[in-house]
Amino acid sequence: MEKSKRKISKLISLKLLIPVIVAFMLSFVLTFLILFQSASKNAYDLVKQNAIDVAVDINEKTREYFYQVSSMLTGISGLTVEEFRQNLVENEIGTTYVSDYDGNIIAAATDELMTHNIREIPEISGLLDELNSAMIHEENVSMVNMTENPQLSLDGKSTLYYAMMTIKGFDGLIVFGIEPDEFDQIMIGQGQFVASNRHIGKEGFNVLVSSDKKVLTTPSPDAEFYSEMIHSELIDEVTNVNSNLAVTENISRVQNFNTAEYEITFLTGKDEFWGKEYFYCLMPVKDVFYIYSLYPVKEALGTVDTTMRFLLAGEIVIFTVLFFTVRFLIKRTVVKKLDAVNASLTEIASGNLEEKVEVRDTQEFDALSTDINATVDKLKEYIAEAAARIDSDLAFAKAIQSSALPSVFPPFPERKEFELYATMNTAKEVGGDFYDFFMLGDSTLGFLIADVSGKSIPGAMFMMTAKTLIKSLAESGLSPAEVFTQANEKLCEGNDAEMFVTAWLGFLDLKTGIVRVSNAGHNPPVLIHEGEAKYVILRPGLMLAAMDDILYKEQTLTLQKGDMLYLYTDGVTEAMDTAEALFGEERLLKLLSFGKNYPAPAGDNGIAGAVCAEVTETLNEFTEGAEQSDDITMLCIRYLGGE
Amino acid sequence: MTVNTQKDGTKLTVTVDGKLGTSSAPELEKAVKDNLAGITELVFDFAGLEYMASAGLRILMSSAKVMKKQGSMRILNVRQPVMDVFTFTGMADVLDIRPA
Repeated sequence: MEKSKRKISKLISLKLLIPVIVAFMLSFVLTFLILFQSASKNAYDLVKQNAIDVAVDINEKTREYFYQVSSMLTGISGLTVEEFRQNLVENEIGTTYVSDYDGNIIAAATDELMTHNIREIPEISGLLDELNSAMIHEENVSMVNMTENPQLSLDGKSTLYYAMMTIKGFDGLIVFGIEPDEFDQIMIGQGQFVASNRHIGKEGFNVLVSSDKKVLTTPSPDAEFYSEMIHSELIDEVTNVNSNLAVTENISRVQNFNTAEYEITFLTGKDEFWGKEYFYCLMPVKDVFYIYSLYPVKEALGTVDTTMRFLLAGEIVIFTVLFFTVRFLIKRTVVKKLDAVNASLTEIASGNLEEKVEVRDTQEFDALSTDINATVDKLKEYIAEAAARIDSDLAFAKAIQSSALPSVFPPFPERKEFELYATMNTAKEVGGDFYDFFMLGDSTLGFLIADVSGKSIPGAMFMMTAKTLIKSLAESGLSPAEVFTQANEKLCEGNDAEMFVTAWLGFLDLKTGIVRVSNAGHNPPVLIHEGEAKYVILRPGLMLAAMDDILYKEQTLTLQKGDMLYLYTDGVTEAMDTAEALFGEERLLKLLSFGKNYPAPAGDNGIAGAVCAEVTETLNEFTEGAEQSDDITMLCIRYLGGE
Repeated sequence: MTVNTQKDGTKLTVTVDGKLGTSSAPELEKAVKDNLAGITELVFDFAGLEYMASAGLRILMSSAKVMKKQGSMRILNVRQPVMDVFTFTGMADVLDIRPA
């Protein structure tokens, strides 16, 4: 039964394991998600910043290009404004002007143009203001500024991008226009340079895509890429004014000691490019080309992978330690203490009711200990009460027994033909011995001694039945043998308890001294004649209530005047001393061989009483210190003769 | 007192040594009761029995009652002191008792 129940530590281990595993997996997954999100966001920021950088850089580089060109135009040859004007006139360059810092044109190809102000070109006006404010801070600054969009020229004939620049040593602002196509080409050239030269992380790169969706640059010198269109749907999306996915932001960059504001539109996402997964940012630059900033997903999340591996190892260690710590704690606070309580309980269960449970480390165990001890104390009370009840039951049975036997002595004081005395001392376990005597008619004395085999209350009850039965049968005039025969039948009926009774029944004719006897398996009585003691051995019949259908025989013996008949039960002969030696038949016989020295009469009970007293006393001495194991019963008759 | 039981098919032999008194009687009673089922021949060997009190008689009587229905019972190798008890109680006439 014990083996099929699990131990607490095993149960806890099992039940703890699942939550621990769940917690572990949850934290692992949660951390992974957070890291993943964070790495993704970083990747998006990275590609976006990169795209912006590329766009800004391209602008810068383009501007620088024009500066270089203009420098070459003026600076190397050290031209003056007047010389420059002559150049313009000679070459009929109608789209290049020189102005002063207020915008008035001071050199142009025609006189007509010289009447204009460059502020007439809308964006130029803004650029001039910027230039003027920049020059407040620094003198002699070399600067190039460009219009965002193509502007109408002063002569109204063309739409051009305008570049405005100051050059060291030249006393004027050069403003020249560039054909849009030419501008685009320059920009693309610069773009290719910038894009190819810039990397994102280790394996990220930029791709320039033309306005007609053709790839212009590539990370590897692979001609194949050039014509491939990549994700043209994304390009459509980002150029769509109503796009949900495209984002428009305003950013600012410091350029030429000025803060330049840009408005950018872009699209970020994650997709497959040339067979690999990339985070991308798609940004149109003016309407000249598109920039894809690509960052491989694998690289972006690479750190996540590494981190997760460490985390896995770390978490496994932590959770394992946690698991075993909890298990250990439970074993120590609970299991160990429970074992201690159980040990005490086992001791108590084995019979030691004085054992106390003293496991008081924690409140719960303290309470448990107190409660168990209280319960045991209560049980001890009940046991004591029950024992007291049993004792009183035994006392009751003894009382029944004692009260059933005639105890008034001398029983027939007016009869001078005999002396009669009898005693019964019960053992602790009520044994069911009894004696009885009664007058049958005027001149016959019936007497008997008996030993019932049953004990305690059933024994006492059986004894009552037998005694009553025998007496009533005797009083109905039957002979001793017939009394036993019929009594035996009756006692055999319904004798489920299988109790037996040995008995010795005698009818003494007081006139003649003849005793008619029937013996049902009882110890032979002692006949004391003239100081000599002898056992009366008669043919025994079977004990009563043992077997039915037994015919008992009658026998006779004769008592002479002064003869004594001493009847007893085996409590006398089987009395034991402390060495477990029996008193025995021989010792009894020897004791009763009075010779010439009969004991002095004991008051009204005469010598019969004295004999009983002497045997009782001798037995007491003999059994001194040992416990009485059986009832000690005796009956003594002294025949004094008929009238 | 020591009690030994030996089963041989439907024959049960109960050997009793020592003294059969009030305290040792329950042991004999249990030994007989536990083994009596299905026995048709019950034999008591009292070769080693020194003494028997009335408690012992009761056990023998109830065993005899049972065996009356189940088969037969006899008591062998009975020593004199024990034989005396059987005689006094009239059991010698009723049971199959053989002296040593």
